[in-house]
Amino acid sequence: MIDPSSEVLRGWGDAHFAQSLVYRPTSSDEVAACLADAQHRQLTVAHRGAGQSYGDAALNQGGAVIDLAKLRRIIDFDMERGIITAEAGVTVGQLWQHVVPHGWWPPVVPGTMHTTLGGCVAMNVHGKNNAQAGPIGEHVRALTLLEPSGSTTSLATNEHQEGLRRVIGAQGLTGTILDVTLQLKRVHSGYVEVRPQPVRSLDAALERLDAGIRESDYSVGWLDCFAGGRRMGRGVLHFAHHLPPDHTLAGQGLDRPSQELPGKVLGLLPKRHAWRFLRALATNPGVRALNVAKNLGGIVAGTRPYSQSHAAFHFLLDYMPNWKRMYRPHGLIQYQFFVPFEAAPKTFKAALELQHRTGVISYLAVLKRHRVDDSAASYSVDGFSLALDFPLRPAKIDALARLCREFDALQKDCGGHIYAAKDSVSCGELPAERHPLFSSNLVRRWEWTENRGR
Amino acid sequence: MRRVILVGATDGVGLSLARLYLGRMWWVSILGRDTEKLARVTEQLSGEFPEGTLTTHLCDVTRPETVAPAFHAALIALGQADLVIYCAGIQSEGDHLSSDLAADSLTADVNFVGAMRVLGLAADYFRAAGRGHIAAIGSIAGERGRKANPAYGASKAALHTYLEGLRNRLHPFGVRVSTIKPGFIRTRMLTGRTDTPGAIEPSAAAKLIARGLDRGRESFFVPRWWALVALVVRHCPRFIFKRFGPA
Repeated sequence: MIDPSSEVLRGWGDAHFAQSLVYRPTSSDEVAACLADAQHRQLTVAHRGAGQSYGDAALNQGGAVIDLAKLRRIIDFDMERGIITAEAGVTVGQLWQHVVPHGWWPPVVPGTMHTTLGGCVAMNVHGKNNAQAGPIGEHVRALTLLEPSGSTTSLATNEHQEGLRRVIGAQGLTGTILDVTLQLKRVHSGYVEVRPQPVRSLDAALERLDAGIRESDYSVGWLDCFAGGRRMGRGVLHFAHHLPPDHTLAGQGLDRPSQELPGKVLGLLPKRHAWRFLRALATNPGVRALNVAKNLGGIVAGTRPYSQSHAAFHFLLDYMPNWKRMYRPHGLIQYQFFVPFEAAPKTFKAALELQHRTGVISYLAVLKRHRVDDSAASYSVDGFSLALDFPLRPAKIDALARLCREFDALQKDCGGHIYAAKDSVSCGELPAERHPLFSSNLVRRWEWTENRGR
Repeated sequence: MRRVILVGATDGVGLSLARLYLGRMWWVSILGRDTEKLARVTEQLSGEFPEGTLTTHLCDVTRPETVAPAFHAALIALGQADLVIYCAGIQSEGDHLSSDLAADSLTADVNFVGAMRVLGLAADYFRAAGRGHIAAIGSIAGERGRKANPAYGASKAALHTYLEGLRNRLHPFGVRVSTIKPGFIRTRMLTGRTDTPGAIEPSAAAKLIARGLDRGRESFFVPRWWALVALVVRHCPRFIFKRFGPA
């Protein structure tokens, strides 16, 4: 029934790998058996869903990994009230495809639809609506938790608020999430109205992004890290809002085909091969040129609103399948830091300047507005986050390591946070009470930094 | 960000390599056979690099039962390894004439058999991962059998051949294998010797070794000019080497 195999698993960014004993249970009962088996072998356990974490969050060198991707049953869906119960391995893609024909949409989605629901709740992920709707944990109505002791507990809001706080965002370090009940969001159309906003400086970007959250449901900013001097922090912001029931597009696009992502990039490149094109451009001059083009495109397009399907707006990272291959063979890391409102202009400016000084420049930078939330291991702040993608290049890897340490210092100075789902070089917040059975690379890094007394 | 396992790095070139990689923000794991020395090295290095990430593990390469647990403990501590360098090596001086059987077999055990014990594990680990870099410190002495120390030369020659075999075996899996061939380095090995032309400090050697490894070189001398010496020595006819060869 349970037959673990020794395998090498990778982090999504391809920069991290680990050899572990991997379990692939197909039912809740099997998960309990796997946990008991790993305990019997005296191995620590890490959870894995779709393996979409950039860093090493779903890896556990020398230990056990319980891969929950095969638990992909949708257990119950209340079409009237928009409440869905699904197993932990159900992906966000599976979820929206199931509910969109009935006029519902997941309340919070990350930039890719390949993540699993269990993973999303364990990491308490956020979307482009973090400032408005909070992280996904705030929309969880109930969940079933497999405790390390082997017993199963159902936790529901109102009744077990404290219990839920222990689990949501706890990175799987307090127990195994078996299924999740989620309150969905009512949508009247398969489309959202998107309003782009080119910005010429970091200050303008932060100011506009902050102003924009009051009049939109979603907001996100893209920054050109190559731009220096007066143009530092230039980029394009996107705001989107749901359409009201009386809109001309109301009732339209609420089916899967309308939500399909385009098969070609820019109407030209078959998207299956698009990463090859990007790979050819994955050098500093190449990305600099792409960024200039993107900026110009943003300025030409101006601020004219347009409508876009939910999937196309939300799942930018899925536009081009396997785009991470552009960073082959060394992979990429992402450094995302959350910085309080007041400190953001100064901290992000310093972060951009540091990149120029060290010559290690992020190829993709995403800016978001956030608010605080109530989860026990919350990473969020009332402020902004900046997510920076860095390709790993052997010649620059030491400089990148040093740069990340400087980012750590910046983030610590202003009382910010690191986001565990993406981290692989620093150390996020750990849940206050974690079970020794569950180990992760994050715990290891945390213990080290504690030992160093930083 | 990069993570390295150094075997036998409680002094000499290994220790210098540990210092160098810590300075470059790498995460370092040291395997050594002496608890006290490991503690001393930890104290020393964490004093020098308060921000550094260092773990140490007890491992005697001549005792096979200690090798796998230590190697896996190092991997667990680091999360993963990108580079494994075998730095352990001994040379017994003797009187340059008589054979010391115990010393000779220990030389072979540390310099060559121990390397197989560790690097065999590393090879399997990296092969499964489809990436990684293995290196070991050989010696110019492995190029030819010298009358002063047949066992030492033979152990290093065996190591070179073993590494070449690994390199060829792991090539299709994207794993790199480097043979490092130093000349004289002023470590414990040279204590009391005066006939050591061109000897360099361990820190200088570490710099050259790290540079060679960064460039992904498969086999290189430290410093490079020893390649010329090796060229001559290797092609020196047997009847000449026999009579006039170096001690």
